[in-house]
Amino acid sequence: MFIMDNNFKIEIKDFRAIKEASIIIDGITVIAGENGSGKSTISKLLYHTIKSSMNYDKIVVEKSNRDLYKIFELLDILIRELFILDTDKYTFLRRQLKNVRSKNFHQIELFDEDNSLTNLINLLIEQIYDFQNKKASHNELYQNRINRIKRMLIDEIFYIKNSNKADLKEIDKLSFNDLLKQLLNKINNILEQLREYKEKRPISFYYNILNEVFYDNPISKTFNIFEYGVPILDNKDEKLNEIHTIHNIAYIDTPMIIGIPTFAERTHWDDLNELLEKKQRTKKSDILDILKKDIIKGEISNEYDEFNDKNFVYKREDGAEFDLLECATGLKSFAIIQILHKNGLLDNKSLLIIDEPEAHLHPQWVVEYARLIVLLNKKLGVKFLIASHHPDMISAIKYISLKEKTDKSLNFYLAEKNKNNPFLYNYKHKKIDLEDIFASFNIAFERIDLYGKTE
Amino acid sequence: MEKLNNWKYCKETTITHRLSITHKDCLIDINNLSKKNGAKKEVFKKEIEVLNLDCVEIKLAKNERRNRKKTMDFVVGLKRKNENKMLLIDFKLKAKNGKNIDGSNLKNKIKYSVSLIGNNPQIMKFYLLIYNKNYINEATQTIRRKMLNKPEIIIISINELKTILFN
Repeated sequence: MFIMDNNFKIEIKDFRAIKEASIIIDGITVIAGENGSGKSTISKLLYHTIKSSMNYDKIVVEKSNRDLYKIFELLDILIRELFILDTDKYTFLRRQLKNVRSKNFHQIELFDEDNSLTNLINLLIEQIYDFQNKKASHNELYQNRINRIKRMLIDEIFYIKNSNKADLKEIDKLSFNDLLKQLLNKINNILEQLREYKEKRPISFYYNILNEVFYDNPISKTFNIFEYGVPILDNKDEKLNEIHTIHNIAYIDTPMIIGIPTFAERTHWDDLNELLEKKQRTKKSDILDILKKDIIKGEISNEYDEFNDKNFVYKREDGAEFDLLECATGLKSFAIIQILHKNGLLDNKSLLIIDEPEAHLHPQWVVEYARLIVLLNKKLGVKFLIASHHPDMISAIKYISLKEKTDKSLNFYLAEKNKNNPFLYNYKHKKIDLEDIFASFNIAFERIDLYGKTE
Repeated sequence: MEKLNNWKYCKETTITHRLSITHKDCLIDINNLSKKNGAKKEVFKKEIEVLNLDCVEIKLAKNERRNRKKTMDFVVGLKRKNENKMLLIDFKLKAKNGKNIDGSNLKNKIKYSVSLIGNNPQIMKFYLLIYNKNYINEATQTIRRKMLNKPEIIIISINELKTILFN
């Protein structure tokens, strides 16, 4: 029997503040709950899992490149230290190294086709062997240099911190050539591991990525994502499966980062800026018209300044132009959607994860944003995971969906306190019934009545 | 509900109100009135009489040859020890959600109903709207926002109304 399961489902148990959550993403999914109930954790887990699955090869190559980068740096020092007085050799070897580095191994296939790196190491082994046979190499200055580089090689190859004293003595006995051969082994291991990762898509590699995101709480098998009922994290075969129904994903937790380079610990910010800087492909659509005419009264374009840097410019309908970075934060919320749409990134294989889309918006714009979410889902098929605290956002999504007849793929969830532990939350599926969600919001009125004078 | 602590329905206060005396035929059994306004079954005890303000207004408008004004559905007399008060209540049991509340219409209804009732006995300075239990929180959200966060309109279910005032 063929069962049409929901498009996407994320299941989490006992992770951070989440006791239990099973959340369907099949159109628009809205999660509501107190601060600290784990809404952002769900967003991050979903984002990093899908992104890792989508970009698995790219991430693996980036990791290998990071490992190789350290080795390139070491080789650079080695060449400079040992061959600086032999101009011809120095120039030759530097050129070789530069050639290898410039190849920019951005695809796994290039590693298979290219052996320039191993050739370079072999060349260095040969050259150093020659060099050591020369008288000049025996003077004290060179000996010191060689010892220093040996030490650097040992550090790089053996991760000295983890070795005991007996091991250190053995390592110290290794010759320079032995060390270079070991380095070659290490390079081969990196490349071998890269091929293996690409072939087997091991789940352990993906867990390492997540552990970097959730550094304070290592991930174990506490969650999974299902596509048409099939687990993406295949713990049985220890494989991260490929995702077919999502090709574009963006995680927007603040519109403030638009156009601003950020730091590595918030990779989704850099990812979002990368998407925003892509080439524009969509010029006309109903949604773009609504954004331009009904909401932001203008449009955002991506232009180069005199330093050839890309800038976002807000062109208002009256002809005035402003640097988007200087504009109201609320405007940036809409700008992100407009740019993503123009860049051709919003379609039925796109998932937008938005934390508190209402932040920075005037109540009127909260409703406009809700309308935009519903229309993007209806007209383009974009899927959403929204975390919201705002009664108008929640209410508007429901009633606009009812009017647009898209309510069948609308799902609300509420994080409810666990009965045994008030710091843990169970996510309850409410379909489109908002009563319990509003009950949680209405606590605010009780507090106003309690703390304030209202009569 | 704290504001109605120890207050209970008082038939005598209800039927001896000036309007009840002059419009005796507008006294109605609360079960009948609630059913007319969308209740699916009779939840209250027998013989609870309340004053149907729509009925009073129809008659007044006819006598005074003017257009009808909107009123709250009914008023009841309450008693706490030796104290008596009147309470305005409106049924919203036909509502299909908690969002469609016209704030200014409600304000006008309350204002006019208060002027009809007068101040003897005093009128409670808060008013009850009776909603289907599935829409109470949404309606509370809507009404508090539309009434500038004033807590003078309280939304409860028909069963809560029964428990608080009529048990």
